[in-house]
Amino acid sequence: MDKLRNIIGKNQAQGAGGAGAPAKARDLRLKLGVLAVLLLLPILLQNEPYYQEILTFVFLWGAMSGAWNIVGGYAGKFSLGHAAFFGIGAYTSGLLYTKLGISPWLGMFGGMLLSVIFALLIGVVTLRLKGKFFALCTIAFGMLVEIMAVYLRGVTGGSEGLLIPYEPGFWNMTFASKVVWAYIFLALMLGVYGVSRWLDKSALGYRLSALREDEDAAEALGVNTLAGKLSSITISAAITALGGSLFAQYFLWLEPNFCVSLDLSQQFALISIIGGMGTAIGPLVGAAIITPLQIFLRAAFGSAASGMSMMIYGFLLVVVVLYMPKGIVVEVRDRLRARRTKAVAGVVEREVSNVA
Amino acid sequence: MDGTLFLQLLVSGLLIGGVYALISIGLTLIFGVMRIVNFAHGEFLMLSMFAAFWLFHFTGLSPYLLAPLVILLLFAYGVAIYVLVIRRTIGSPMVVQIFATVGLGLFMQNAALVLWSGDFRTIQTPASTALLRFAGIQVSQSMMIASLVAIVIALILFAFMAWTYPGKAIRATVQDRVGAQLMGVNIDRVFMMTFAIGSALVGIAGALLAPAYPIFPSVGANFGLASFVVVVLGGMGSMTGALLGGFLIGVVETFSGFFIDAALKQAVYFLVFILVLVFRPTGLLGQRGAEEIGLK
Repeated sequence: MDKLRNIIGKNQAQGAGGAGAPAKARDLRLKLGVLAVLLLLPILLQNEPYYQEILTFVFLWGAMSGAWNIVGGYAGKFSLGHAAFFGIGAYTSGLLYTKLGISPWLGMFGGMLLSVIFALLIGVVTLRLKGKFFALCTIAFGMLVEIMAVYLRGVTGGSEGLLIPYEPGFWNMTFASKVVWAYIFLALMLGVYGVSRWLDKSALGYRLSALREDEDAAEALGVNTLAGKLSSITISAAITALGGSLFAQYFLWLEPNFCVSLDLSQQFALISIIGGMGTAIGPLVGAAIITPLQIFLRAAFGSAASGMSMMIYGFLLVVVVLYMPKGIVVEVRDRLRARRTKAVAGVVEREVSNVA
Repeated sequence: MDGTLFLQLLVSGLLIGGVYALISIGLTLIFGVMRIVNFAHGEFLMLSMFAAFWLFHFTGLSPYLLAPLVILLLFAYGVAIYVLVIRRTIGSPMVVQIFATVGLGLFMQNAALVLWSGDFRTIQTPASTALLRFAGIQVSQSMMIASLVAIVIALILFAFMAWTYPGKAIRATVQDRVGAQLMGVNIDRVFMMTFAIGSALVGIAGALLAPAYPIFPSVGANFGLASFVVVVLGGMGSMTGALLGGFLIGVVETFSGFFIDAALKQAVYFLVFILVLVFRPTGLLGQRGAEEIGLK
C-alpha cells in the first residue's frame, strides 16, 4: 500500500503539480524564442515591403484588440465603440501636429487624456447597463464621435479626411523607414501584452474576472465593481488612443469612415474573440491569423470584391463564437491539457496495475 | 414660424417615424420573446430590399404586388438562420449572444457587396415618386403606405398574440419558459416561429421601403441603428412602444434636422438613445423584463 502511495505521489509530482518547474522553463524558452523571432522579423523583411506592411499591421491590430480585450475580455464588457477612442487619439495628435505644429510625441498624450475623459464619462453613465445594453450604448457613442468627425469639417477635414504632411524627422514622428514603424508597433503590442499579463496576476485582474463572471455576486462580496469597470475602460481607452496617434503618423491620412467606424470597432472585438478573449496571448494570435488573411484576400480579389475579406471575417466570427466560444487559443490549450492529463492518468493506471 | 411649415415638418416626421416603427416591430418581437438582440437586423432589412429589387427587376410587377413573395422569402430565411445560428445562442454566454449576430451582420452586408456590388439601385415606378397634397402640405405616397402598414401590422400582431393558440404559446414562453414547457409548449418551435415572424416583418418593411429608398449593401446600417434607438426608446419587447418610439424618433429627427443641422439629425437621436439607456433603460413603455409581450 505504501508502495502504491509512493508511486501515485511520484506521478503527481511529475504530472500535475510538479511538472511546474520543467514546464515553466520550457514555457520561458518558447517565449524567448518567439520574442527573438519577432525582433528579427522587421529587419529580415526590410526588402519585402508587402510582408513588412502585413507584419506592421499584425502588430498594430494585435495591440489594439489586446487593448479591447482588457475591457471586453477581462471585465466582460463588450464595447462596440472602441474605434471612437482610436479616432480621438488619431485626430487629437494629428490635429495638434498639422494645425499647431505640436510634436506627435506630445500630442499623443493629449489624445490619451481626452480618451480617458470620454472613457470615464462612458464608464460612469453606462454603469448600470449589462451585456447587450452596454454594447448598444457603446455603438451609439462610436456613432456620435464619427458623426462629429464628419460634421466638424473645418477642423477635421470632414469625410475627405485629414492629410498629415510627410516631413521625416524624429520630432515629427515621421519616419522614412518602415522598419522603424514595425518596431514601434511591436513595442506597443508587447506593452499591451505586458499589461495583460500583469492583469492575469494582479488584484485588479481578479476583481475584473469576478465582475465578469457575476457582477451582482462580486458586488455582494465587497468587490468595488465600479472601480474595476472604470479602471479597465480607462486603461483600455488610453492604449487605444495611443495606438490611434501612432497610426495617424504611420498612415499620414485620417478618414472618419475608416478610423472612427463601426467596422473598426467590430474588428478590434472580433480579432480578440477569435484569438481568445480574456487571455493575454489571444488577441495577438487572433491578429496573426486575421490580419494577414485580410491583406491576402484584398490582394487576391482586388477592388472587384472589396467585401470578400469582411465577409469571411463575419463568417469566421459566427463559426468561432458558436463552436469554440472561448477562442482558438483557449480551445487549443484546453485540448492539449486534457491530453496531458489523460497521459498522466494512463501512467498511474499502469503502475497501479503493476503493483497489484 | 408659420403653421404650414410646422405641420409639414410634423407630418414628414411622423411618416419617417412610421417607417422606423415598421422596421422596429420585428426587432422588438424577437427581443421580447427570445431576449436576443439581433445585431444583424439592419442587414435583414437590406436583404429584403434587395429581394424586392430583384423580383421587381425580373418580373416588372409592382413592388406592392411582390411584397407577399418578399415576406415569404424572409420568413424562410428566418427559419434557416434560426436553425443554423440562433438556436445555438439561446442560453449561451453573452459573448455568443452578441457576436453571433454581429458576425452574421458583417457576413450578410459584405456578401451583398460581393454579389451585387456597392452600386445604388432604385425601383422606378410611378408610385415611388408620387406625392399626395392636402391642406398645403406634401406627403410621399410610398411613405404614407409604409406608415399605415406599420399601424395595421401592430394591430394584427396584437390580435395574433391575444387570440390565437401560437400567440398564447409565445406569451406563455415569455412569462415562464420552464412552465410553458411543462404545459406542452414546444419552446424550440416557439422560438423558431418568433424569429421567422420577426424576419418576415422585416420583409414587409423592406418590400415597402424598396420603392422609396435607394438600395445598396450598407443601407441596413443606418436603418438598423435607428431601429435599435426606436426599440430601446419604446421599451424592448413592447409593440406599442415600437410604434410610439418610431413616431417620436421620426419627429425628433425631422425637427432637429430642420432647426439644428441636417448633418446632425442622427447625432440627436443617438444622444436621446444614450440618455434613455442611462436614465430609463426599460424605455417609455417597457417594464423591467418586459414580461407582457404584445399586450401592452
